[in-house]
Amino acid sequence: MTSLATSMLAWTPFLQPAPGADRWWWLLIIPLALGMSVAYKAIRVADLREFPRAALVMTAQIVGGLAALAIFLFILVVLVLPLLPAE
Amino acid sequence: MANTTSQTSFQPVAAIAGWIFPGLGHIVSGNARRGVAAMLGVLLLFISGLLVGGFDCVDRKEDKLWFIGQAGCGPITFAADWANSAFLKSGSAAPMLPVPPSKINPNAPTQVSAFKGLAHANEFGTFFIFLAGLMNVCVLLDALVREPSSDAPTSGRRSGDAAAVTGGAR
Repeated sequence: MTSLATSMLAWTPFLQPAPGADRWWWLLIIPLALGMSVAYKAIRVADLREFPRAALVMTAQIVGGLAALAIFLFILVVLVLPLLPAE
Repeated sequence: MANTTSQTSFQPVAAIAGWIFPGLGHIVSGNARRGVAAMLGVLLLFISGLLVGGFDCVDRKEDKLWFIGQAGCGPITFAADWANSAFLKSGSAAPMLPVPPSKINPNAPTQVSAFKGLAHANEFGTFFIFLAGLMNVCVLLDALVREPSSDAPTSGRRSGDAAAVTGGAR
């Protein structure tokens, strides 16, 4: 964490890639899902009073769905597939 | 299926405005709140992409196919591409580093900026801005058919979402 903090201090936004993006890339799914949800729900909700809640729910659905898919694939690849016979 | 009474409008000026700047199409057609909301979403993706990968994520020459999708965001994408050329590729922001010649692409540059993004940073940055472009295309298509000053859904769309309240239900 100390090296990441040091890298952040030396970071020039927009010119250099974000430090830590290579290590913490999976966290980027949260702003990705939030941005998509906000843009999508802005044009889809009938009543704009529902917009913040609808965008947050869709963000949670995307992140939760991908997390569930990751857990399923982890179980399949790490736990189930090694149990199968080699031939 | 219930009859809907609303008519589909056609607003080419709003669509063009929506390409010039995300969300502007809705704003000029009188749906300001919806336009600002769409603008926030698209710009969140666009600026996040630039923060993650830097200006190097928008490259009209080296990443041509990605750039086609990214161009859905309009002139801000071209501005980012210009910034990439002006600050990174020119070597004014960081020293240029020699790279071995490419066996695949003989026209590949022999020097790259020390600030060039690699691996996940570059991939995610490029993808964020690509998604921003695609989402803005959806937003400007909505501006194209949305009734001016309505802030209400248009007809003929998916049931259970916006179409559920068409026909003067609200």
